[in-house]
Amino acid sequence: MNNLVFGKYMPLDSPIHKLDPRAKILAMLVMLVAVFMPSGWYGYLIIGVVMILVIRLSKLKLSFVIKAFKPMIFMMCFLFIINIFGYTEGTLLLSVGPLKIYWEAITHTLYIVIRLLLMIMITTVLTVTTKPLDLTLGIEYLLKPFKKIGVPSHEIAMMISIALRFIPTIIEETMRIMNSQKSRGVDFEEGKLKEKIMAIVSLIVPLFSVAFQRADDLANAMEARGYNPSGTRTRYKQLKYEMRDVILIAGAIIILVMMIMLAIFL
Amino acid sequence: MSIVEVRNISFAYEDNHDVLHDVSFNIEKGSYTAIVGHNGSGKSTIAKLMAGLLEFQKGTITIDGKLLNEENITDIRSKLGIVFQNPDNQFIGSTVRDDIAFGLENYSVDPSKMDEIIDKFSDVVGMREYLDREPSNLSGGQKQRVAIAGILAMNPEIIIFDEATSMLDPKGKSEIKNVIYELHNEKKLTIISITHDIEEAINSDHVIVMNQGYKYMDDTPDNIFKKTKELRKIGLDIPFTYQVKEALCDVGIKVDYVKDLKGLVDEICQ
Amino acid sequence: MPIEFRELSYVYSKDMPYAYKALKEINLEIEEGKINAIIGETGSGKSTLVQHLNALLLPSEGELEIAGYTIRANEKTKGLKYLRKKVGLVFQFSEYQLFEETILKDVSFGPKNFGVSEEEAIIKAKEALKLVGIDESMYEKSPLDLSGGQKRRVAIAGILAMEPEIIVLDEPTAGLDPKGSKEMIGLFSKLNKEMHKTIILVTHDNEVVYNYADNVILLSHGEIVLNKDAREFFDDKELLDRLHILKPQIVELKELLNAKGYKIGNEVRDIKALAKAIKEIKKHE
Repeated sequence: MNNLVFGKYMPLDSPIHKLDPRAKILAMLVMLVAVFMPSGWYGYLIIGVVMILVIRLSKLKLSFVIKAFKPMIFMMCFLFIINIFGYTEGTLLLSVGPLKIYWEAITHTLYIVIRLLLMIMITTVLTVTTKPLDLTLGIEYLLKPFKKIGVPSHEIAMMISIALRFIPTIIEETMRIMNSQKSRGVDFEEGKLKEKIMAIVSLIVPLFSVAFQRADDLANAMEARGYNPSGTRTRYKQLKYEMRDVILIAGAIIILVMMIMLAIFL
Repeated sequence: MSIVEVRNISFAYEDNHDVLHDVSFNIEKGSYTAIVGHNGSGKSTIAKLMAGLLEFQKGTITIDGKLLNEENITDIRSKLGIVFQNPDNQFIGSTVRDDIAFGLENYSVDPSKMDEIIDKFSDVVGMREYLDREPSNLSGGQKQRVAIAGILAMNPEIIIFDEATSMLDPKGKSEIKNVIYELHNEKKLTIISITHDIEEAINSDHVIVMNQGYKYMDDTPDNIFKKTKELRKIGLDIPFTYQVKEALCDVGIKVDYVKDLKGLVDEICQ
Repeated sequence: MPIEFRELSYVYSKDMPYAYKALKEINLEIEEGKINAIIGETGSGKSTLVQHLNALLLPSEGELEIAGYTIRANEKTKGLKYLRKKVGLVFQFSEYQLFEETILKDVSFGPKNFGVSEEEAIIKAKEALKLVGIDESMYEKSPLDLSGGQKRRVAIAGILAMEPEIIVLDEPTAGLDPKGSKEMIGLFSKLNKEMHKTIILVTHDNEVVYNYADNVILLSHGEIVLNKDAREFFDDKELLDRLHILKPQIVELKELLNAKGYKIGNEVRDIKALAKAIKEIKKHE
């Protein structure tokens, strides 16, 4: 399970790590919008270069981020094939028998792939440089203004942080139950459909019953320690905007504006 | 002075099987009380009732002079901490630091004062070096120590240990027991330990034996454990030293002091 | 035929930067028909070792011979699934494996997975449930409605119904009360004495090891420290001290008395015999 590199927090000491999570979430949203601007090759080049600089600043190895691209290769091929059949006119590039491949099919695939890669790059930088708990705290703060219209910002943040806290525990639990059932002759890899369904049931039912037990215990523990979701609480981690956070958001907005200009004038 | 007064408590779950019948007892301030009994004897239910996690149908509970009810519950919970059995299911924060802070946040403690409190109480339980560790990198005993620190940070009068050592290995068990003794002897806290560990019960001040939802015995450890017949009747373990005392008595050798092995040996050798 | 580990190593997350060698070139022979206790601190490799016994883990290096199978590192052995029928592995908190609608169905799940017919599986399930002391009136109840101790027994019946030759138990009494633990250990002792099953028991409880085990296997940091007759092990004071073994109370009491000049021999193993021995010595004073 540890080889799931994608998006996992890396405890490094870099200027990007030190940024306020709210500023990072906001900047990410602005950058994602920028990526969606039809700003053409120059636009993507600019965003790409900026992101590579950000990755260098965050002391991450570029190869680490590139690893996150790997699962995309399949997607890329799939898109390409669809586009080959989707484009039936334009500049003919190659024709193999009845199959005609047009330039537009390639450029279009590339457009989509590059956008996806940029999006992955942006979100990966966010999740890799921000502790999960800080992320939830950031989300909680950012959602606060929406409390008036009934968005339970604190509850959402608490749910996310508890979910994150229990992911390793549940993975461990899953392994243990799988091993127990394997010891009873369950084959999780092979077998007929009926056997496969039975195998899954033998995993899911215990997993749920344990999860309910955990939830019950956890609710008791939280209540006994004075937790009251509707009451007022202070927060141990305090967030404070600093100059660098302002610069980050300003930078993101400048890039967005550039993309809009490129989209309009090119 | 009694810090806990339980009067005529009866409790049943919604599905109607009775768990507690007319249970009453007092617990003295600063004492170490062990509540023993089989699984299903109702002993863990008592802990949950005292912490206000379950509502009882009959009777009253008074904690530190305050009647346990809807109005006083928040106050009472800040005076009474409870360490549960499963170390994983009570670790709420994503790091040791955050977990200790959780209770402080609930009682709206000023965030600027939290670090000092966290440092102080993580030190008491010997977890100060682990403040930034995540729960998956801690042993069961370490997680239980964090739970204790989280409770100490609230400055409680009473700590209930609800089979807090039963899921730990021998090393974890002895770590937690040492912390408990220290809290009792040095910090003068009232300790209520719900336990299967009969050897722990010998060293307490006060033992309550539960059986099938009734209070079966309520006395000093020596008065309870010398009644080996009554204990055997409900299938409870007899402490080793009391078994030895009984066997020696059968062959005509009388011994009195049986709190620990060393004392027992000294008496035999007299 | 004994169970044999030969130069067996196991590495977690092999080929990763955080690879971890949990078992180091282990050589071990476990005798059949006995109760073998595996002891050692948390993280010493006990669970890793035990999971090799029914091929849940395969050796990274070396080989293992068990129940007629030879499992070698980097080599595919055919029919390993059927090894799991011969070696029943009961995990810690085994009640979490229960999932069927009724107790009887759950216990017959194992045999059915190994190709036993429905009717025969039910017969085997009933036998196993009888063995663990679950009353017939419970058979059609949901296993999830039982108490903790009963759930555990049903889970163990689920393994026994497969009629394994070797039964491996990882901390089977964790979380049970003393009465439940005693009944549980009593059951394993019965399986060994009456049905001649080989029992391999992972435990932290040295009182249990002292009272029930024939053999002690001590693991530390992924290595076998010793594999010894249980009586000899607990009689060897210097060895116990050197290895920081938590002594059973009766052993400790004998030791304290002997330090005071009493001469209580190794043949004294329970409280009654001890009381008699003390009386004898007192008579001669």
